[in-house]
Amino acid sequence: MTEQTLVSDILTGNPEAFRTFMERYNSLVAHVVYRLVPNEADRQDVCQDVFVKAYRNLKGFNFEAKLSTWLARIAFNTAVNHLEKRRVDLYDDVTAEHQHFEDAAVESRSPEETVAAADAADRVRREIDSLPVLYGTILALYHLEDMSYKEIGDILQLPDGTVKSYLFRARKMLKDRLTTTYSREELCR
Amino acid sequence: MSVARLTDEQIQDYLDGNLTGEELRQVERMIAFNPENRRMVEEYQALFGHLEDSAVYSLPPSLEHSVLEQVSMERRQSRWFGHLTVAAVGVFSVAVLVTLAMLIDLRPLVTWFTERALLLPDLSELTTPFYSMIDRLAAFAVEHQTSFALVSVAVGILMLFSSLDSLLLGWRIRRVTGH
Repeated sequence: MTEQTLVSDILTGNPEAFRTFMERYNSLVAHVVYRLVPNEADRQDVCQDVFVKAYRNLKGFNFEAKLSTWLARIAFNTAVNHLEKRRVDLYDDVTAEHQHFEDAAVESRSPEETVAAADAADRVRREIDSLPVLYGTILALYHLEDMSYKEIGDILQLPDGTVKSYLFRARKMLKDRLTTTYSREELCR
Repeated sequence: MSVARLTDEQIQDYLDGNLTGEELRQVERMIAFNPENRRMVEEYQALFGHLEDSAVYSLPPSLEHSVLEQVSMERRQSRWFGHLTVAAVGVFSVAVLVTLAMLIDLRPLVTWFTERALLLPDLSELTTPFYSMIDRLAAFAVEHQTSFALVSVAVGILMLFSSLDSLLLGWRIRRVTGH
């Protein structure tokens, strides 16, 4: 189903079309919001807000950008607004709270999970989580959503050159951290 | 022959497919003739692969359900509110028109209209049941003009309050549910 058909079906009130829209862009919204919002309970609320805002504003979508770019911009702005609104609480509590969840996750791991956690992709994930949030978001949009520098720049309201430079820095930082912590064989496994 | 080391930026550009022409050939030569460059490229390739495998986030089905429910509720509310607004505006306009009709005697205007548009010489010549009913209704309205005016204004005000209440109630619902 093309973007045009999907949008026009949603606007005519077809609930199945909106379900398809959600299924199609589920991971995109999750990648943007989950990278930026550290609190698990807040993440779901923000994701819900994103889709409801998208629904309300779909009438104004003019196909100048791709639907994914438009939606990712809504996701980014909603997450940033959420962080701004909750700044005091989040920055005071979340670091400790996040740490608490991390510790609890480690303590409650079964032997099988511990083995799985040793998986290289899991290690990469953990290292991405420790990067600055904007770097993590750019990595997710570029590598998981196959977006171009320009599309990412449109979403994050950054010049293309800055996106490219952040992406390079993020990957170098990630590689340096991984090669310091793990052997080359582990990384290239 | 010693071959210079590639920078991280050159390797990333190479793997992203940003290089072309002579620049690309030069980097390929540097990779082929320097094991250190090859090692770096392999490390970056492995990292890129792991990045693509690191997609773990997806929204729970319960969230999809709540969004669809909220969207469907908004659609219903918006449709209902639209109907109510149209009805309120319609009734209010009718009330205003009826009030005006009560306050101003429209008989000369109706006579003029029937003479010009319907090519009838006089309103009294109208004999069909419909026209005679209109005529009787107009006579009754003129006779009870004040009562009609009051009732019309009351209906208008009632509809206006009903619209405002719907707006305020909608606002309260949004405030309570947080959406």
